[in-house]
Amino acid sequence: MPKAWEAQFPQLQGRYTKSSEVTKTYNCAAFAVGDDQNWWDPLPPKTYYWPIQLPPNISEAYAVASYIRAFETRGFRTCSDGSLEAGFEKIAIYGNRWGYFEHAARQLPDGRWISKIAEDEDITHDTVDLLLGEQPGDISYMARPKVNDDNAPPDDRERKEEA
Amino acid sequence: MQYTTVQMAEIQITAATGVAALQGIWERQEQYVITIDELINEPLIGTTSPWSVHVGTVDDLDLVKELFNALERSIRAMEKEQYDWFEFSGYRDNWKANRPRSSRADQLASYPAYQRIIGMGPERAVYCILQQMRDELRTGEPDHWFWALWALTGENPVPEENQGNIFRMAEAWISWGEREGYIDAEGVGGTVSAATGSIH
Repeated sequence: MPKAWEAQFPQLQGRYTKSSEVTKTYNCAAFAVGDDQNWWDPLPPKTYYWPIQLPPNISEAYAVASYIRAFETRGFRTCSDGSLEAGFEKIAIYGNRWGYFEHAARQLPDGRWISKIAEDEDITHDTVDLLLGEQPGDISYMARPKVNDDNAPPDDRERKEEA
Repeated sequence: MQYTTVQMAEIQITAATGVAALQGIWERQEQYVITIDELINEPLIGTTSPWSVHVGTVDDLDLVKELFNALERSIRAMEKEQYDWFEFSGYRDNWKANRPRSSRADQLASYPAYQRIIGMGPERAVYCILQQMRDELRTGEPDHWFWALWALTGENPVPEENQGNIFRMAEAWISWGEREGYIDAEGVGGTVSAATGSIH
């Protein structure tokens, strides 16, 4: 039986593997950059984890550009595509047709992708476009050099140790 | 004992009662079977009989009117805290069951039932949310009540190092609520059990 959230991804059609239990602890933005302890969200101000200053125009807080700046704090830089590239880990940022953030996914070493679905479970899916929403916009890609320790940069590890 | 089943969607409750708390029932979008004797002879909330959910309709309009008149009397007889919890829990159940899944707090908070909770105002909604959050923290994960609490109070008691950790965020808000007198350390706060209607 399809889960309620599957209806929000018309192309998925059950083509995924469940990779975790349901949890609200973290969201897709956090999970994409290797943080499974925090919910990343720009609003309300200073409520959830958000590593950058909010834009002067608060309505732009959820713009894809805002998420790109947030992910840059974890060492990611924009790149041209989501192809598998030795020595790099990549993430995909899904915007909607209005340029606002909808989802983020992380590339696995075998070229497949893994996503945290909203407040639900993590799933593994073969391609990025399977998680395009009902009002899809552009997909942006970012990459950073791979690190050895569970793909987590030092700042993430520190936060986990504090927790 | 006489039982009847009422399909809420078939009842024009707004004009018949004018009681705001009935919106809480309406928001549940459920159907209830209640004994007429229970409704007429004693307040519905505060009895030990939990409401049962059934599907069905009533043909006898007089019986329906009698039922809702009794329900209105029952609601009017509620204590303030019972009334607030009654309304809150209807919106809560609706939000939890029907909201679109999202990774963005603004989208979670924009669901109409969540907005209705904010619309209850700080005096009525904050202690309900904090009690709910405390129950969730005891039994699992706290839900995303943070937007509502921020909107209702203008406060932000979560230390920067805990922002994003929903467990510690919930703990910070509960501690804040205790300090501000919205709830006490035992969780009294004037709220009621959704299952039994009994005051904690």
